[in-house]
Amino acid sequence: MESTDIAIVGAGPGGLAAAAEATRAGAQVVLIDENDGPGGQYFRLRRSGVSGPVGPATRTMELKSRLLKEIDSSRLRGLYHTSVWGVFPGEMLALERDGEIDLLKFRRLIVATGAYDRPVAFPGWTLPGVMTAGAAQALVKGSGVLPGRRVLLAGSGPFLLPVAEELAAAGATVVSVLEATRPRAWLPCLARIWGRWEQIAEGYHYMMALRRAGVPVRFARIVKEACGGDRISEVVTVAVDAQWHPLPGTEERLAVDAVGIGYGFLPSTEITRQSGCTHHFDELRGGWLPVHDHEMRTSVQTILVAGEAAGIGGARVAMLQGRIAGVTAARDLDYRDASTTDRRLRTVRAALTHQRAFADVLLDVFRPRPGLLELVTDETLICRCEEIPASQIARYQTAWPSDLRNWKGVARPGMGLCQGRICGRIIAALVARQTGQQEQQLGMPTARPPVKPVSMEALARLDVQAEQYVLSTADQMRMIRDSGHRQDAGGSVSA
Amino acid sequence: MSTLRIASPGQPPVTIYVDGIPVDAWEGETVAAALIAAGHSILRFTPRLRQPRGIFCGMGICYDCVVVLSGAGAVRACMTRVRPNIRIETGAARPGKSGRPE
Amino acid sequence: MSNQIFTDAQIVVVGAGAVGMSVAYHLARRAMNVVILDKGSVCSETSSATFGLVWVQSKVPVYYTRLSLLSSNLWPEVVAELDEDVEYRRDGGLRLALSEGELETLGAFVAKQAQVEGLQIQLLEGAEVRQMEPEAGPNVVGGSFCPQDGHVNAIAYVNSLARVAARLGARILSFTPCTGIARDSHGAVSGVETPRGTIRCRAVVNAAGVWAAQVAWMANVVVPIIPCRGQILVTEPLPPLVSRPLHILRQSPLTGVVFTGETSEFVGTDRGTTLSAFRRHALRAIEMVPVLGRARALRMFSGLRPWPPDGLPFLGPVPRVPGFYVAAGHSGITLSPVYGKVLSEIIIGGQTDVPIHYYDPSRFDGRDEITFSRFGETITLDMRNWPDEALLARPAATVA
Repeated sequence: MESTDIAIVGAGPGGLAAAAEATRAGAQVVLIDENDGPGGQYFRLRRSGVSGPVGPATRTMELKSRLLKEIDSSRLRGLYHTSVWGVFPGEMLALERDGEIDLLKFRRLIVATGAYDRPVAFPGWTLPGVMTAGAAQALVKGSGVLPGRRVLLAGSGPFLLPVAEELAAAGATVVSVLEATRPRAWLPCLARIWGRWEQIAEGYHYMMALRRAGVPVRFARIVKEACGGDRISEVVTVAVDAQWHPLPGTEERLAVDAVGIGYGFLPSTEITRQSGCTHHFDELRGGWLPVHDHEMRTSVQTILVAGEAAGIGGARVAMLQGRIAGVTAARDLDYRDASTTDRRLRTVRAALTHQRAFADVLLDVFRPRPGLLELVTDETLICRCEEIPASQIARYQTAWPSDLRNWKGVARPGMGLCQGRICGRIIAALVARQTGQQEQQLGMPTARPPVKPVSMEALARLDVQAEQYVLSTADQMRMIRDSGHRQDAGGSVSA
Repeated sequence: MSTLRIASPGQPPVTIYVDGIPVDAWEGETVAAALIAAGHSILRFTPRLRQPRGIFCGMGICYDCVVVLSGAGAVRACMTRVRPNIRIETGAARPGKSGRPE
Repeated sequence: MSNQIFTDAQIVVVGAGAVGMSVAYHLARRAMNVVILDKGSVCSETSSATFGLVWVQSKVPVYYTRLSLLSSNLWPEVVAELDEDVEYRRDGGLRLALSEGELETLGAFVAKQAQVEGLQIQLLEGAEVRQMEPEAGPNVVGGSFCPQDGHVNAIAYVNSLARVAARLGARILSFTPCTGIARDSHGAVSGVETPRGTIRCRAVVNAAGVWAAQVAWMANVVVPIIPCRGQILVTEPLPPLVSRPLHILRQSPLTGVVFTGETSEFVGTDRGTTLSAFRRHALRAIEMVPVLGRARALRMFSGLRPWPPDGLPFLGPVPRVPGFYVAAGHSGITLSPVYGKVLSEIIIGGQTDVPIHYYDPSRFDGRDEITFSRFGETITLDMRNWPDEALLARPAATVA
C-alpha cells in the first residue's frame, strides 16, 4: 500500500489549485482523477487540432496553463483514469484503475470532486440526442464533434451561453437558447454586478457572439417534451410563468436533432457523505453539502473539501477554495512555503468572499423553480438505469410517515450503475411534493463504499489484512459440525 | 468527413470498426464522439423496455453510453478514447451483451 | 401529514419490521384492535438490511428446524394476500461445497438433517448442482439442496404487509418510539408510553429486534439479544444467472442484482463496512459463480441481526408480566409468518399448537453471566449490569 502526505480527489480547478499550493509548500501530493489528464470539466482538454472560439474560452485555457505551471511536479504524482471508490478507517483511500484496486494511505485528504449537470426529467428525456449542456460542450470542445446539426439549448443560467457560443462557432445551427427566467428576475443580479468587470465583459462577449451567429435567445420558455422514434427529431417548448409553471396553449414545436439541457449543477458529495463528514442542507448551493470552516476543513479532522463539492460556486470560487485547502492541509503537516504568507492568504480569502457572494447571487437568480417538476408525467422515466417511471415512485404513498430510504427501498430506483446520481434529487423532490414535506426533512441519503462501481474480480484480489473478523468458509463448516454436536446433546444451551 | 465534425483535425484519421463496419475516427477523441460523428446516435437498448439510449451526461456518471469494446468488455463511450483498429459494438442490451456480464 | 397518536388499543406491537408487522397483520386479520409502533419508518432496521432468505435447511436443533419448516410452509399463503409481487420464490435453496473437505462436512450434516420429520434435503454432486444452476462454477464439488428453501425481497414484503395490515384496520405509528411500558398494580401491562402520550392496551408484543433488549427492560424483563453485524455486497443489475438462493448468494428476480455474503461480527451497533469483507464476499461469490468476476459491485451495506446467546428465538409470553409477549431473534424473515400465527393464537386464545416452550423469553432469567461463542468469537454478557449500554447503544428516535 502506498502512502502520501496529501491525497487530492479531482483534478479540476479546485484540485489543481490545492495541488499547486500544497506542492509549493513542500508536501507530497497524489492527485487523482477519472479522466485521462488534469482539468476536470471546466478545464476540459481540447482535442489537438480543434480550435475553439476566441474570448473567455481562450482565457480559461490560459488560466489552466498558469495553474499547472504553479504545481511543483517533483512533489506531485498524478493518477489518472483512476476512480476513488471509498474512504476507509485509518485514512485509507480505495482506488480502482484498469481493473486493479490500490489502497492509498493519506495524512490529509482534499475532496475536490466537482459537480455534474443537474438532471431534469421530462417526457422523452431518455431519447438519443437529448443530453446535458455539459455533454454537448464536452463533445464539441473535447472532440471537435457536434451533437447534431440543429441544436436547441435550454435551461437556466449563464452556463448555456459558452456552450451556445462553442456550438455556433463550430458550425452547428443553434436553433434557440431557451432561458427559463425572465430578465426582470435578474434585477438582484444587476444590482450586485457593479465592479465585476470580468463577468460583465464575459456576459457581453457571449451576447454579442450569439447575436452575430444569429442565435435567438428566448426567455421564460423551457423544453417540455422531446419527441422522436429512435432519436430526437422534434422538441416541444412551452412558455412559463415566474415559477416556471408551463402556460397551457403556448407550446411550440421545433425540428432538432440534438438538445442540450442545462439547469445548473449538483455537487458530487459521495465521498464526504461516505466518510462521515457532517453535512447540512443548502438548497441554493446544491443540496446536502459538507459543513466546512473557512480553512476548508470538514468535521473530520483529516478531510478537507474544495470547489463545487463544497457547494456550487463556479470555477473562480473553486480555485480560491482549493488554494486555501492546499495551504491548510500542508500547514497541518508542517509544510510551509515562503509564499504562503498570512497576507497572501488574506487576499485569497477576500477574493473568495467576493466571488462567493456573486456566485450566490447567480445561483439565486437562476435557481430551479417548482414548475419544473410539473413536466414529469406518470410515464416519464425517473430512474433511467432501471427504467422506473414516475408512477412507480408515486404508488407507495401511505397514511403513515415514511422516509426517503424506505421509499427508495420499496420503489427500487437507484440500484443501477449511476448509483442514484441521476435520479436521486428528482426522487427526493417527487417524494417531498407527494408527502407535503420539504426535501430537507426527508433526510440525507446515505453514501457507503463503493461510491463508484468497482470490479468484483478486482475486489477478490484485494490485498488487505483482515482488520475485522469476517466469516470464513472454514468457520461455516465448523459451525455445521458444532451444531451437529449440539443436536446430539439435545439442544443444550451454553450458560 | 462527417458533417458533424468541425474543422480539419490536422492529422490523418484512424480506422475503427463499429458493428463490423470500418469508420474514420481521430485519435484523441472519445468513442462517443466518433460514434456520433459516424451517425450512430443510438448506443444501446435498455434491457426491459428496449428503449434506445445515446450519450446523456458526457462525463461518465450516467452509464447510458455503454458500448462493447472488443477486448475490454462494456465501457462508457464518453470516457474511452479512440485508438486505431478498436472494435465497437452498439445496441447491446445492457452492460454485458447477450446475457453475460462483461 | 398527520401521525395521530391513538390512545386506545387492545394490543400494541413494538417494531414494524418483518416480525412485528406479521404479528400486527395476523391480529388485525382476526379483527383485533392493534397499533404498531416504530421509532423509525416501517421496515427501517434489520428487515431493511437483510439477505431475504426464507431458509430451513441449515437450522438446528431439530425443533428449530421444524419451526422454520412450518414457517416456510406458511409463506405462500401470506404472499397470496399481498398487494404486489414481493419477489417471493420457493424453488429450493442450495448450500455449496467448494472442496472435498467441505463436501464431507456438508454430507454429514445433510445426513443428520434428513432425519428431521417433514424436511426434504439431499446432497448433490457438483454436476447435479450445475444442472440445477448452470452458472455454478467448476470449483463447486457438491451442495445440499432443500426444495423448501426460498427467498424474498424483504423490504417489499414488509411494506406490502403493512399496507394490507392497515387495510385490515391495523394502525401504524411510524417515528414513534416506545419509551416505557406502563403496568397496573398487579404488574400486568396497562399501556405503552411514547413521546406523544400513552396508548392504553392490555398486551404488548416486543418485536423490536435489535432493540428488543431495551424494550424488554422497560418492563423489567431480561431479553439478552445483542446486535450481530452482517455485511452484504450488491452487484449491478445482471441478466438471470442464478434462480435459487445459494445460501450466501442470491439474485433478485426483479432487478437482477446479486446479493452476496454475510459476515457475523459482534461490533455493537457499528454499521460500517470493511475492506476485508469486500474481498471476502467478492472472492467467495466468484468461487461459486465465476461469471460474477466480470460484474461490478455497486453497494455494500450492513445489517444488524438480533442475536440471542443460544441462537434460538424468544417467542412467547412472560408470565410474571401479564400481557407482555416477546417475538424476537434472528431469521426474522423466515420466521415472520410463524411469529404472527403463534402470537395471534396466544394473545387471542391463550394457546398455540406450535411447541414454543423451547423459546421461552424467560429462559435466561437468574443468570449472572451468559457466555456464548460464535465462529470463534466468545462473548460474555454481564447480566448484573444489564442492559450493557455500550453494546446496545440505541439511536435516538427520528421524528418525521
